[in-house]
Amino acid sequence: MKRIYISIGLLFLLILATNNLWWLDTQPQETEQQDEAFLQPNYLASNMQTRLYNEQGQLSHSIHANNMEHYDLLGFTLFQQPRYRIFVAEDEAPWEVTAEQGTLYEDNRIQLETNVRIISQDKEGFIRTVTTSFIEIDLTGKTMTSDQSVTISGENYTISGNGFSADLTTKQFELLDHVQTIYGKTS
Amino acid sequence: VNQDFDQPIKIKSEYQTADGIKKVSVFRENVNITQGSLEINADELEVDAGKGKGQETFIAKGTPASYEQTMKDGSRIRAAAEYIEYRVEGRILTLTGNAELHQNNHSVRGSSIEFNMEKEQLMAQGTDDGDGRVMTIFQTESTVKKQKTQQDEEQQD
Repeated sequence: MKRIYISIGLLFLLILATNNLWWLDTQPQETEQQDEAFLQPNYLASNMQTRLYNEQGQLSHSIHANNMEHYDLLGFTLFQQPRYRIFVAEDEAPWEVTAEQGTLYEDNRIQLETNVRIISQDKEGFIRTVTTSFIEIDLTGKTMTSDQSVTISGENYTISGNGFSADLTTKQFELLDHVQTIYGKTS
Repeated sequence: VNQDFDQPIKIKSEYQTADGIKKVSVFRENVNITQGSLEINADELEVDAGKGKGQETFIAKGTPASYEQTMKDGSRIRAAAEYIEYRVEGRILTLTGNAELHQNNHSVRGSSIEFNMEKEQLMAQGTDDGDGRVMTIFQTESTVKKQKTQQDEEQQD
């Protein structure tokens, strides 16, 4: 009987030793706090509206979001349900971009994820709607790229493909892996 | 009226690009266009949608590009040319560059052929040797039959 108690005791000590590793941990306490600082947003906002202007004083883009978290050290801002309006040229109707989440980086790139919808407010425009699950928009260069499946539709056509890039200024767009385009009413 | 023209036009290809200002799209690599029984195969296709809805022009380019469609009498018309232009509104097919059109028992060849797909009528032809002569080959019933028996014999061997 004694031997069982000894082995249980040894087993208990072993578990205690491997689990805690307190005697190995030489780092001081503060470094943990420093790591957590990274993960704390510098400021939060809800139901926020931001307007950004370019050097010529023209409205470049505006963002509305249900809530927003800005992480200075990490260099990005997270948006929930962002609604972006991108103004390409003064005499042109803007593009409206909506998604579940958005991440805006300091170099003015925004990545939008889940139910991304891009709608041209220009009723004469060739592209009317773009839907995808992910898109990255360069707000300075006014270009968009996606490596996911995408559906583009216009007045009398619908295009489906995988991977897409578009230049909002020159209005050129390209699908590398085109699947199908339908002209006329889609059944 | 041939029901084909009420159907949407479907285009498959590997690559696609478009110019939003000119409203022109270009499709490349294994381009296949279908609309009901109409089918065009080409290396490249340009679609000009500048005139608006339902007035697109499809210009297919190939070596050659080919066209097929089922006529009202059930027969299958076939054509081939370097360029096949399909004007959706007028339902007009214009073939240019070594153009040839095969309908029932006659074939037409020339540098350019224009064909009304709805009326199933040949509208104009041109030839590049300048003397206005156009090559139209009418295959009489008998020659068609003779060809058919030859084909049947070959199949039996």
